[in-house]
Amino acid sequence: MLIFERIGSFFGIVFGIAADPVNLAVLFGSVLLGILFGAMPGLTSTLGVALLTALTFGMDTALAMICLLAIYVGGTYGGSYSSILINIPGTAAAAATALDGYPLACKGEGGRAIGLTTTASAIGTVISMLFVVSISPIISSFALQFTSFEFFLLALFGILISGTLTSPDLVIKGWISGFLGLFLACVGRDLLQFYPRFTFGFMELESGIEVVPVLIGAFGIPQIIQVLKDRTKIAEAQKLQRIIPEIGTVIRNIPAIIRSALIGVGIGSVPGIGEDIAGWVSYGTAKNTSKHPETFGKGELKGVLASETANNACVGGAMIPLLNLGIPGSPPAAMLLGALMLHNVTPGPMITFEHPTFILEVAAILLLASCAMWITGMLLAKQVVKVLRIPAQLFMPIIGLLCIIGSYSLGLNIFNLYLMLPVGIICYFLIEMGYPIAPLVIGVILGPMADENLRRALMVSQGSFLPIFQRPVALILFIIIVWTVISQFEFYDRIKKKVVLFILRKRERSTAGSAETNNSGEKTTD
Amino acid sequence: MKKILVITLVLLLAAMTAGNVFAQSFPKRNITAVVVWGAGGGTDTCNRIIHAEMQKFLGVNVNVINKTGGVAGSVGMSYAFSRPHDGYTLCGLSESNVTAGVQGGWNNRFDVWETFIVGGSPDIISVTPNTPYKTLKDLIEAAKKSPGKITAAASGAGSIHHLNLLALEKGSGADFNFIPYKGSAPSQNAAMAGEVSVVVTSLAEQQQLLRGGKLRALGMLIPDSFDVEGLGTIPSSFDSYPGLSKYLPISQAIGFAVPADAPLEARAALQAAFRKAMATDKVKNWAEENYYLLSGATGAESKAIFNALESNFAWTLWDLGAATVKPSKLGIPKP
Amino acid sequence: MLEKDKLRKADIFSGGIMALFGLWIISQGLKMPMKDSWGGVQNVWFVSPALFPLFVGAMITLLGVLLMRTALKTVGFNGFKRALGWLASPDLIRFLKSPATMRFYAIAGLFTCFVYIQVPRIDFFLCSVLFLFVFITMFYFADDELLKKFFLFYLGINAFFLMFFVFDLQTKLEPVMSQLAGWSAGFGIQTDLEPALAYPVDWITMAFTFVYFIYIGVAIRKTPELRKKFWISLVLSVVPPFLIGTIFKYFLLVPMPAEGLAVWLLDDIWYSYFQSWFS
Repeated sequence: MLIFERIGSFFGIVFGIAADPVNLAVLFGSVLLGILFGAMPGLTSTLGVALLTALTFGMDTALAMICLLAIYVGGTYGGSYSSILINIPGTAAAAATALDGYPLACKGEGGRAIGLTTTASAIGTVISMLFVVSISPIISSFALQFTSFEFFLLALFGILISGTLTSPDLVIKGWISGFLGLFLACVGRDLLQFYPRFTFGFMELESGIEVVPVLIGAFGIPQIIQVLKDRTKIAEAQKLQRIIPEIGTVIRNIPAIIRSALIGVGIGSVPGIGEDIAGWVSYGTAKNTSKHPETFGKGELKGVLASETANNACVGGAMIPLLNLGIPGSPPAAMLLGALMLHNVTPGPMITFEHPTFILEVAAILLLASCAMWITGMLLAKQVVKVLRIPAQLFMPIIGLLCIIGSYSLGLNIFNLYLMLPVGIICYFLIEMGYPIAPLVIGVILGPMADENLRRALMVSQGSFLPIFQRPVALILFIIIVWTVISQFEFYDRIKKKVVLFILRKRERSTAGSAETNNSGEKTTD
Repeated sequence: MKKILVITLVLLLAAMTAGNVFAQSFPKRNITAVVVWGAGGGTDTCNRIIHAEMQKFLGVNVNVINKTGGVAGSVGMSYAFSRPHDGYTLCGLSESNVTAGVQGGWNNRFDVWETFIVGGSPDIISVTPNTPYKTLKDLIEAAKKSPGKITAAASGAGSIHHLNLLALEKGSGADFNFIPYKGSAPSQNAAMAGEVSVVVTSLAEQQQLLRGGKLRALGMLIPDSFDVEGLGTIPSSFDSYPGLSKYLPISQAIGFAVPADAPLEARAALQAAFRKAMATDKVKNWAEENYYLLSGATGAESKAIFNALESNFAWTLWDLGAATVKPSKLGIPKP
Repeated sequence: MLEKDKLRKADIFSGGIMALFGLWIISQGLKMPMKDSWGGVQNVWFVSPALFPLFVGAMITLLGVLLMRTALKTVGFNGFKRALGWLASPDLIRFLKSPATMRFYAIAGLFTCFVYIQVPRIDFFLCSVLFLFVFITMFYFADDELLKKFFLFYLGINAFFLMFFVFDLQTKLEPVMSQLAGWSAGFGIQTDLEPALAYPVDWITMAFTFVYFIYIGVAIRKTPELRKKFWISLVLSVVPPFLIGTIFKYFLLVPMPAEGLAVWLLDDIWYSYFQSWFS
């Protein structure tokens, strides 16, 4: 009965918010602003939330929450525009989208891809919202299963999987790229003992290398150089655009969308990591479970759907530990935590007693924001594709300027600019030589986490690696990592074939009839 | 080109008419407060609250921006200090910034700033609920029996919470295995998850978890006990270990600063507005709801507080081997 | 990305560079404190700040060597020799002088000058107008000869600025500027204009933008079909900086990297006309 009452009051809140025209105006305005921040290369949704945190200070709490959540949702979704259309991901999460989205745009299906991701993102957000309303305390206790060893393994897994998936050439190169990112993450005062590493006496390097300038440099600059240098057209602008969402395609992909959303919620709820990893893991799962993994990377709609659904579902996931434990689940969620503190709301276990309806309010805003995002997205999709008709020679220099102001604005640091450019030029050479660049960015994001948690875990266990095998979550992560690495080598294939043959022969002996169905079953799990 | 010329001319004309609008002496235009820590942190929140009130009395807007990085906020501090010393650029900072000097990020002593202290939240020591330690005495005795075995979390080496932990060790004779975390939230998270047993952070950061039963409070690290709604009174750790008074309290001092050589008129105007803002109900209510103790110290008073903090932090770091510049080189006296 | 065969040859070198880089990381890591106490944390091997760099360095070295091995297996030793031969042949010079490579130099050079010389010191609005103007005209005209000319022009401007900042001509110009201010006062233009004279660099930047404008005008005199493109470039290099800059500065409250003449003007307009609406 309690749950019905909860649902009843939930919809009461939804209509309460939607009935106020001011709220609606702020909602749509913020979603649009979020989409713009996500879509403009060089500006990121983290920057959007950070800048708006300061501006919402004067508003009352409910309105500020609407504004910030809407920007967060819109920004996470908007990142897909630039990665699909011009191959410059606005966030590390959208880098997984670019893998298949940009080839689609080159085929002239950019509009279709954006239309579909809009629907998928909205579904992802709504599913994550359901989790926030229903079982968030259970999920937040899952978040507490993560201690230093798990964090370390998770970070390592994130780097390995993005390295494995992105490589257009050899997988080794993806991993090298990931480790280069980890090296960049080593720069600065180490987090446990404060010893300066690789700082070469630069005071600015002591606080470490920030993610945003690396992200902008690594994704933005090489694409600008490539397009202008080789005089390539960015992508095809399609003449006939469908605005109506392809309901049929969406329904066919519903199982995949739900799976991606679940991955997004799960990863979002782990403190400290967010959309970036969710997008990659979901993309990887989609590729590994697909019957045609070879089509991924060449314009496979399922890949785009997987990463976009997951990174939007992550928004709700990240809210769960934030609201129940006061631990932000992703970098923009950390900004949101700050905004909440500014408005005198301290999230934590007591929030349900102090502000009884607050979690429901957040869920209601998420629902409304995803609706607003869907409507705005559907209206924008058709217009945004027209950007491709502007000659790249006019377009790219302005993006260059945006990259510069974007990497300066978060933290107001000119040194970040000095860093962004060389990173961009080095990344250009790496891309030319067939190294994927996304693992490098993921490495910079996860490096501090991997470093700090590995050493801290060993400190707590007094130098023993045994806890990895004693803690269930750690063990699962460890097995997945080992499998990810081994499956890339030839001898793995040989062993696998032998095992499969062995099992088949056994079954053939037992019943000849059921062997065939088993056979096809084996293939799908390959 | 003609267009540009015309536009430039129009702009110039506009500029000329603009000149004589203001007659008031200070402030004539908006003030910028450069917060050296990230948006949403304690220092940032404090600054936004106080400046929102102050701007009502100053008559201009105070724009709060965040400029992070360097060691102990040195990038933001250097930036704010490099702007003209006219009172239009403030620097939002906290007690942790006093270590920038000995860590090689800042070439001055801290008294180049005139500081305004809003207040801070007192530190508290807590344990994971399923540990056997019910009182501070239990914990300290256990730690004395097996030195260096009980794990204690606090944010990074040399932070205010680490200093509080060190002071507790010195004052009580216990010895913990200190595990540093990247901030208060992760250290509390680790204590909740049972990775470590003891955690030291401020009451403001911990209150939700204490009241939710995720952590158990053992004692305040200030001379007075503290009433927390729904939890009763948390005793002062000084009650069971009077020797602590020699080393504690080391309190947070969050606030903002203006270069000490800014015009007297500007500093006076800021002080007046600051006093009025501290007396408003909004600031008082905010402090109460968030378990902050308001200070309101300015001028000589806050200078003395920051001098004490500076020498304490600087020499502790030097003794720990985490400082790169010897405090005496900067002229910082021993505590 | 290069073609498969070339890529493998390049892999031999990139793998080698990576392996060396990994070794360098290890050598740096070995210099870090391993045992002695640092920062009040008990220090054993597993707490040492060197642990993670050593791990990363070792992995990069290992993967670099593996990559070299794979590449050598594919192209064989002869392929490697041929690749070495190519590096010593005139083909390399030809590649370095090819138009596509020239375009790369131009983009990299443009960004480098802008980011390292101009942004930190010159008013953001003014220097980005110049930057965009040069950048857009260089590529939008789709003419490699013009590109080369424009790029050299921009390099020249920056060489001047470099001198200007290195020799600190700004302070040397101050007496001249105050002289100018004296004259302007003589003409009855009152003190309001005086602050504008405090930004000589910004005035010089504006002058360069104007000279560049004339220079392009002369360069495309004989090709009237470029004239339309010229005006489009002009509009697109003036509007975006002011649009983006104004939004960031006044709406999102982000101070610009360097604030000079244009910001001073905008500030004045802002405070005298718009500010009153908000407060």
